[in-house]
Amino acid sequence: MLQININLALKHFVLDVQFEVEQGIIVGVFGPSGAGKSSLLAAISGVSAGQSVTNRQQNIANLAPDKRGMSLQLQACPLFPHLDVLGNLSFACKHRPKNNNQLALNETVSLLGISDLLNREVSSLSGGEQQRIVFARTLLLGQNIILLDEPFSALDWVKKQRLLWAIKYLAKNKNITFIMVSHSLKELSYCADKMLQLKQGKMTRFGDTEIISQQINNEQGTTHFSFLNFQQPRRLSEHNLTKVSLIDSQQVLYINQFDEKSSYKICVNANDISVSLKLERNSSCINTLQCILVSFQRQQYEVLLFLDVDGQSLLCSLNPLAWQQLGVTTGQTLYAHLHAI
Amino acid sequence: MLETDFTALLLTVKLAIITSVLLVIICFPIAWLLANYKGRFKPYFEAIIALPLVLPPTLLGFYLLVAFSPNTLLGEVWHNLTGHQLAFSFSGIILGSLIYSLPFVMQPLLVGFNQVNSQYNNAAIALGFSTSKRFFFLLIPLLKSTILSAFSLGFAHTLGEFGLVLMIGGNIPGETQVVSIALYDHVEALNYQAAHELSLILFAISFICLVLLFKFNRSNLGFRGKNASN
Amino acid sequence: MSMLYNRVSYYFWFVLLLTISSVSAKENLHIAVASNFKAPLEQLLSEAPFVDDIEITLSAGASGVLYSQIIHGAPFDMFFSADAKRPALLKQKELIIKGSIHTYATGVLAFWQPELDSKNNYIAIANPRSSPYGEAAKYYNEHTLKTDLSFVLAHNITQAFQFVDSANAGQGIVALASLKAAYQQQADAKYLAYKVIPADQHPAITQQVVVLKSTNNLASANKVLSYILSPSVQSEIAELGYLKVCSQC
Repeated sequence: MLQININLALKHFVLDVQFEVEQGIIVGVFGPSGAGKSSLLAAISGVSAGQSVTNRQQNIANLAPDKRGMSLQLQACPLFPHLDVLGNLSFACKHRPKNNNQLALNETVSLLGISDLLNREVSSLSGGEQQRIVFARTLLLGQNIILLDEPFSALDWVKKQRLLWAIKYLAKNKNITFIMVSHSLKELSYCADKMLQLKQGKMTRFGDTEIISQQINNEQGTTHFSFLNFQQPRRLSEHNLTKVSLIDSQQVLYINQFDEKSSYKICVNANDISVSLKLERNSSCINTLQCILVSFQRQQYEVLLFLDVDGQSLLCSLNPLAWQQLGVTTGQTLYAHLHAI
Repeated sequence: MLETDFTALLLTVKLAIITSVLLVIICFPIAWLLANYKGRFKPYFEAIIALPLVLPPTLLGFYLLVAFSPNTLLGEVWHNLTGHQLAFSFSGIILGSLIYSLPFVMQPLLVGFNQVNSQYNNAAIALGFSTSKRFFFLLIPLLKSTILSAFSLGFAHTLGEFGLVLMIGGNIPGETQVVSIALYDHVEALNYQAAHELSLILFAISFICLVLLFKFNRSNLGFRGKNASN
Repeated sequence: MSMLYNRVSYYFWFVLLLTISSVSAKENLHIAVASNFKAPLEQLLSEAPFVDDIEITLSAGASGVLYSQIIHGAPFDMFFSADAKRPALLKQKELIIKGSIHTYATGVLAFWQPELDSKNNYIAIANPRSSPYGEAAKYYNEHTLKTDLSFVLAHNITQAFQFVDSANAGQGIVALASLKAAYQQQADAKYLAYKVIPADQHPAITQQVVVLKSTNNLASANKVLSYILSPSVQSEIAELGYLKVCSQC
């Protein structure tokens, strides 16, 4: 059990955060730039001194950063230039503080899919490749509490999924607690168990991801998306697609990029859905789902539709003109066309 | 004349090497501490370290002469410990050179540490590496070329030391007669020919040292591979 | 009309400034002097009768350095060297006014040992290669003293004094003038613990002055010369720790 109690005066506001998490839980910290997310991690890790942090009833607030049993991966966390990629990872293995979490090097490499990068020079890596190696290095330090500050900002969504799934895997199988900061709600919704929303240093929301991300999603001005869980992936190599079935449903989807080592859920941007009342047979859209309009929310420049697809929520964002043109009411059965998945 | 000149050259090189090695060893931890110290006395410490840059060598030499006297604390303690005097001895001019060349070794190290701190050391602290691990396995490898340039700078500077040795050396061949003193001697004795020859050799040695310094200083912070000339 | 006026006034000021700078109330004299004689010379010149008429600038330094500067064209009017060698060389190079070499002082050596039972085995002398005091001290040692103490060479006679004064050297062969000057400043008994070395036991330490050919002010230079060589000034110099120049003996 990790208990955090931070009350720290920063330059423009006071950082005031209290929460507690069980071991093996992933916490996503979400907030705009300047909200104090990085400062929060620094305070928890001991880089800023004197905050109340207890781990398993032990007060670790006054311990040096290397004795706290946690690793903080800063936003600016460069690889060591005097070693190559493998050297950086071995460095972490060799010099890790003694603890119970001994992640093996090859296990980590295959988990994150970075074996092709091992012999590269640090200076030849792209930004995204660097981030993957940095993350691997952090994991290899073997701490049971890992704090991550925007660890995947340079990665595209497909690569990100793999790593987010790896976090979920490690949290569940190796009982590692992760506290991850991101300004991408999508990322956190995908993998975090609990979410913490930070605004101007104040903890405005804390709770289970499904609830909190939904609440944040509903706020005006955020980009809307939803996740659909699926199962039974079948590869159709002749079309370069993967066919998946929605959970508790007969409906299927055809996905472009599917990674075996990832969670079986797909992120659908609310903007990438069009809706029709009738099912069009001759249409170029291969991903059409039957759904029911549960409710809608009219906002200034968009109308948000809350659709139910066999028990799963799907969010769709329409231009007010498009909504007018659609001309439907709640309770009606609609067809959602998913583009770009 | 040639034999004493050769002795003077050997002595000078010996002095420069010993001084620079000692300075690197002394300055490395001090630079580390100072780079990490963010208290309000920092400018004062930095000023003290930079003093030998600004003070005339003859001033330093003069006060060292007073300090080395067996009647003062330093001279007395040294005499009790070793049975010898500091003035007119090789140990004495080493001590003088340590003070004289200190800023030249300390400055590059301070710059190197600040660079490493801002980029790598802070990240390593956050990740949870212990102090000793960072010092031995991160800082020292990263700072290898910085250490080398600090050494070379101290070496080249000590080669040219004059005013200080003039004040405390006593011009003893094989002990305190360094090349700059031998040169001065030749000029004072109107032996310009010998002065020219000795100057040329010293010039050549200094130049070669500096060429090597700049050649090996190509790589910053121990970077590897093609981008080493960063 | 106004343009002409401007021109005329510019010329007027220009000429005025020019004449002001050259029409000074005093004559100018630039004298190079060996470091060990700078203080005495300064003192003596300040008491001279022509002190208000001649503006004197002293440049002190090692005789060797001053000599090098002179042969490379430094604009000195007179050169008070610490030896006779360099004035002779200047004469050889025809850089001096004919007949202007004169001995202004003769150095006196003293064996100085501030602490009688000092276990300090260093004896300090000036470097014989570059200092007449050192040369004389070396001669004295080879012919009379024959000590087995370790020799420490100072770069000039004043530094030899410093080495002993700071107790880094236990004894030294120094200039009597240094001891007298030190005692004047600080009446410490240690400055009296010396023995004058008789002049016949070492080569003479003649300190000579020359007037340089490049002088613009021969008249003033000669005034200074005759003043320094005058009997009253010569006895004053002797009092400071030098041998009296006996033109009559």
